[in-house]
Amino acid sequence: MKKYVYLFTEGNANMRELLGGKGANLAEMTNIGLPVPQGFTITTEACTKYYEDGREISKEIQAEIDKNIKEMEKITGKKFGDKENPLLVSVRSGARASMPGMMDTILNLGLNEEVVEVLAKKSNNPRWAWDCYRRFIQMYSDVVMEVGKKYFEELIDKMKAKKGVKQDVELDADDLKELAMEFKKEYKTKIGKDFPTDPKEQLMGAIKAVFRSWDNPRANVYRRDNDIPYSWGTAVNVQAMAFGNMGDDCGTGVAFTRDPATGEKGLFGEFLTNAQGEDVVAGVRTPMHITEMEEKFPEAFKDFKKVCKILEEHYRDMQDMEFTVEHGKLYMLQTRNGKRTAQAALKIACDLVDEGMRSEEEAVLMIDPRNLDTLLHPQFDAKAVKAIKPIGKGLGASPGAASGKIVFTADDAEKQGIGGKGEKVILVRLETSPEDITGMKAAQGILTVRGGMTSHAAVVARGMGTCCVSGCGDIAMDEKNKKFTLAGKTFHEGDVISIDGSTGNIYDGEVPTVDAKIAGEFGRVMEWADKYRRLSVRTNADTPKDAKKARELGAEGIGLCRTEHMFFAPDRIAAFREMICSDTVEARKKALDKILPFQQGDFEQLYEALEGTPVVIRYLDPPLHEFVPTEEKEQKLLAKNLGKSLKEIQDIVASLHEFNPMMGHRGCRLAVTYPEIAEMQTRAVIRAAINVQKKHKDWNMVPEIMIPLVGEIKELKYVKDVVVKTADEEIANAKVKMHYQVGTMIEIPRAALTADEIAKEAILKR
Amino acid sequence: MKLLKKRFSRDDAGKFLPAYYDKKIYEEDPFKTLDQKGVGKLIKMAVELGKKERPDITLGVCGETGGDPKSIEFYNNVGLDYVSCSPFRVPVARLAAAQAAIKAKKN
Repeated sequence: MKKYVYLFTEGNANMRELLGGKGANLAEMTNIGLPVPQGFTITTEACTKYYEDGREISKEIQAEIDKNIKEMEKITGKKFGDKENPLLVSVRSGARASMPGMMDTILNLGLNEEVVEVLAKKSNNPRWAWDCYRRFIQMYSDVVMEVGKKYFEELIDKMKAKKGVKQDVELDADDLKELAMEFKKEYKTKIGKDFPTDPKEQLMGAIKAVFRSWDNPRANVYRRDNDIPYSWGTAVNVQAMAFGNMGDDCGTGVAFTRDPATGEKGLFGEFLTNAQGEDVVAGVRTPMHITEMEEKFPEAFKDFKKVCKILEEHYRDMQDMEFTVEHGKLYMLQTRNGKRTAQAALKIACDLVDEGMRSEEEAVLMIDPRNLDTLLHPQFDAKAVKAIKPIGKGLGASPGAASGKIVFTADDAEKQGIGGKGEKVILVRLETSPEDITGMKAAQGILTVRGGMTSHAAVVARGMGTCCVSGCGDIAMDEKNKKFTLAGKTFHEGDVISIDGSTGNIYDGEVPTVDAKIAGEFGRVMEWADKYRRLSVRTNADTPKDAKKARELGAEGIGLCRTEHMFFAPDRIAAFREMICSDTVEARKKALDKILPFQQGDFEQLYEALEGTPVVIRYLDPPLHEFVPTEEKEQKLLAKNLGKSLKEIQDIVASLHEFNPMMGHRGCRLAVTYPEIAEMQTRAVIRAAINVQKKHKDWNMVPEIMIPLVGEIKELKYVKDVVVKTADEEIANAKVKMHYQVGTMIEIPRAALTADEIAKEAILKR
Repeated sequence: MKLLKKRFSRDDAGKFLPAYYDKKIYEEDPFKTLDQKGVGKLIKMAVELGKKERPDITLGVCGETGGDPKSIEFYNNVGLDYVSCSPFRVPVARLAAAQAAIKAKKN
């Protein structure tokens, strides 16, 4: 029979998948002899089964829970609902990975009116007993029955007003008792049933609530953003209570063994006396700095420091802990590897290596690569962001932060932005397309209504290192009248907004930014990474600016340079349109000859930026209809230049229409029908390489030419023959020696299936 | 020689992906990471076929997944020579490539 429930004494840190992070660590702390209130963990498999069984906890699992309650009663010497020595427990969720958004915590479960009287008498502390009870009703109603928190908070505020006090702790036993009764009444009004008195019924309700919360919308969104599969499920931890609210010799706190923002070694955290659970983070009272705990509870603090050292050495990582002090005695409620900023992650990794706790390889594995993004872009000032509310949210498509005036067209961005008037602008579009590129470059940030993380706007923005928020569907766009509505407000051209490309948040007005800093540890960790990796890392870059940036960031070459942008630039598009609309090979060659020097110049700059490392140049790929003018004004101009009628030009444009352009006349098919394009591009590549080689004798220039969209070995061979003939001619004319490579991109299934044949035609020439 | 993944049009997916999330057909953005089961199989096949014919061939991948840590681990393990990603992803890819190599050595 499968085991669905484990006592803390039966688990260990390696059982994370089954017990969740919290459960596995509670078991591990128990194993290494730390003071942990005992209890049991209901496994993630029980959660999966709950969903399989139609959102019910099966009889089998219920029986196992009952059995473990008995065990727990034996271990603690307390009993659920007992008149002498009642057992109270906390119920907490705990998935494999930390998962905000799920039901978090229920404390003091097991209380009813009888038990609360027993506790009040036994402890000689009725205030505490009633405080526990009213907290329990409040939490249970909120998280299990989903009665809004606010109703209870209103009742507390009323009570405080009535008594003329400011803080919860100033309410006495009778006040709290009255509150508890009011809470129960509120519960009955909202739910229609009495508040449950049977501890076992309370427990089953709480366990179900944890399982249910795995599927709530917030949890689903968090999982999607963080690659956590739905199938994992969450575990539930049931733990005997330790009380931080029994008086001034009690308290509760959270602490990190190192600063999670900077990574600096040393205790970092907060602490509250006479308080429970969420009080520290809820901001009801201002907590004390953790070091002040030394004065209040010298013994417990000494123990706590010892525990911190043991835990750090045991897990060999920065720990994030929760603890409670009950009558001066320390209890550990949780430990985990602490979340940290990218900067802190680098510092901690380096420090752990220096302290001899981790090897370089282990340190490399400790850092989440995705976090490095945040170190490379300017960021909004964290304090400023905290003080304001976003007006909308899209996808954090390209990290960075930007404020600026709204513009609605790429042209306006060019006129007003970088290279134009030099103002800060945010380009807001339904979606972007290749013609928008220059406008996108002139903008501080890009915001789109449509498109995902890999939409045109997102990909191009990431490539340029420009901040971008994509797919904010809440924007009601009116591009024609240059305005949009979001969060009930209409924004016009020139209004200032701010966008955060990491979080996807959109703000009204300007938000101050701080520059990205690259700390010394960053370089050190990167050195280690370079030492241990096998894969080489190149960049996708079409412009010298991108290429230079990538080189600074450690790129070892260009893996993809798309050449279509080189035809779109204003000084070349006219010539290229001439080529498309020409009738003869001669006329086409003449038009292409005009583009050749520009393209050669582009390649030379790229080669210079890459300092002799390999550069893959992909030949022209998109369908021709993307290049021809759609507006009559431009069509007329083209007609005039070519000595044709407007009608003739319009016929040509119409003839380029395709039913499925992505599968149409593009890629190597262009070079098969117009070999002169491939010839021109080859001349540009080889001439550029030869020129750069002459300037830098110590570089070894080996141009890499990529022929796109190949699906048939013969088409590759045909285009390759054109390339080789042209390249060899150029090399011979220049009287130099040069190696070059011709290859292809495997991008259609047929090419993958026949990759052996295609590989035969991939060459490294001489 | 280069390898690229293609499944469906990224610019149009916004119209149906929300329904796919709601119905739990997809749990995450399918463009963020390589579809290892499907497209990955094609890549693996292409690598094996290509290397069998030309052991000296250089193979790399370009596109968004070239900067995605999970995909990079796959590319490391199928034996590609390089990954290519947008400039600001380069440090991410360097670190992810190191992690992939270290993990592969451990196993």
